[in-house]
Amino acid sequence: MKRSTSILLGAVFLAAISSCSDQPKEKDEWITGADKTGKTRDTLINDQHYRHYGMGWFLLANGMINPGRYQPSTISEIRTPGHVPAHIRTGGFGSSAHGSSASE
Amino acid sequence: MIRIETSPRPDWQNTIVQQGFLFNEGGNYWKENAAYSFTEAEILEIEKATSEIFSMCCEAVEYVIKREWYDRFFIDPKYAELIRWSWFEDQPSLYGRMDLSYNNGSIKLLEFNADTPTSLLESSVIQWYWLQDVKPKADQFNSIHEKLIAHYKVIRGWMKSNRMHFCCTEDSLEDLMTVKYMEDVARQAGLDTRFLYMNQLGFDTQKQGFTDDQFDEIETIFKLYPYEWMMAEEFGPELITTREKCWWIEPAWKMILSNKMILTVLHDLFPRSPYILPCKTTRPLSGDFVEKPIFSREGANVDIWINGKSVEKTGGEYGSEGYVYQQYAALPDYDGNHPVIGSWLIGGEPAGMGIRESDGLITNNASRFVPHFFE
Repeated sequence: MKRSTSILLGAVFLAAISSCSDQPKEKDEWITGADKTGKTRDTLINDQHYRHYGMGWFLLANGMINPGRYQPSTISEIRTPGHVPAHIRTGGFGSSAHGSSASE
Repeated sequence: MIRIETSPRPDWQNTIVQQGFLFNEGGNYWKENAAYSFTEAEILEIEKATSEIFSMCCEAVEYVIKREWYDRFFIDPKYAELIRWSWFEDQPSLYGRMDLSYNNGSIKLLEFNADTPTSLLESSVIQWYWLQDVKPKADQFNSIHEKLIAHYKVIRGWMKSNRMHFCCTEDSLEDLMTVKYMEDVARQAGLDTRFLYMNQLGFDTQKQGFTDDQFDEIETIFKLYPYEWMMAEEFGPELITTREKCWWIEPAWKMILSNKMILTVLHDLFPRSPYILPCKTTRPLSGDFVEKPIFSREGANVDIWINGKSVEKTGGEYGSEGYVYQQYAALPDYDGNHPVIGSWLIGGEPAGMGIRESDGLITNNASRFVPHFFE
């Protein structure tokens, strides 16, 4: 016998079959970060403006934040003098596909 | 090996969709009005050949690395140390697919799809369910699913944490479902998995590491995306700077095996092997041969020359780096159907096979997948 005795497909694959898509990604774009009532929660620490959004504090620039590009900081991190929010560059892979499969 | 006609299952189209085969190319890729029948002895021959060819491939990789033949392989020399490191660190490989011709008992390696092989789902799952429905008493050279689960558990022993990421381009449903299958199997092996598309991969300039779309650092990642594309893109150099922090599957040394230049090295090292075809970098003056681009995918830009004439040629955008010239090995002809055997390796061990057949002499992305069995 060289064949598999049983093949069970699990939740990951079955979910892919039914939806064929994943959760929308956080786009690399500037947003206000306001809540449903239009309110924002801002702070000024060490001469730097931050806005609270989701899981943490984001650098505020021209009244906008970019959760797709910057990592959220904790309150203790932004209180640290010289703190630089981590900059996440994206899009550095994936441009070669040109709409085609990567398969061999 | 013989080709037999079979009756398709009632409602087979919906059956395979429910099993995840969402990329049936308008109903033309998966075919179950025929099947290939083998004897057990034939299967053992294919299994033995696959194992021996892989051993030769590993020797060839080491040969190339020790001689630093990266220029011959058109690999940017700045990636040389990464490749060398991944090889001597024994960075784990998960899978690969050898394309073999099998004609009158003669087995020849046509190429090794070592970096981003597909047709995995149909080889592992779809044809297995077909066997249960159509030929339940027969056997099938296919333990891909179980071997994948077992090998994920082996790889887990190397990983820094239980988390493995999976990614592919968002341009191909076939790629997505292949990776989703790989992720599903990893989850069944006990791994904590996350999926993202290649363009969602981030690079944290502070931590100097790759991150996912939840800002978590990536430590082990399976990619269905060719190294030659990655090296040409913005994040390519970060593969080098993060080599200790982020392990990629397949590992960097697979760049050598997925490159058609390896076919010339295999012939130079093992000229008497019954499985290795003569292959050179210069065009033969006579004889029947196949011109293959050094980098190419899915049979693109291949040109078959017989008796001094080009008899079949495919288009594409490959070939700028040059070509190799491999002695022509005819595929068997079953009333105009030419099957090629895709022999799977999981963790370096033969694990099963899938058969694609084509009308012409070149197997490309218009080929058809036909199930097999043996008795």
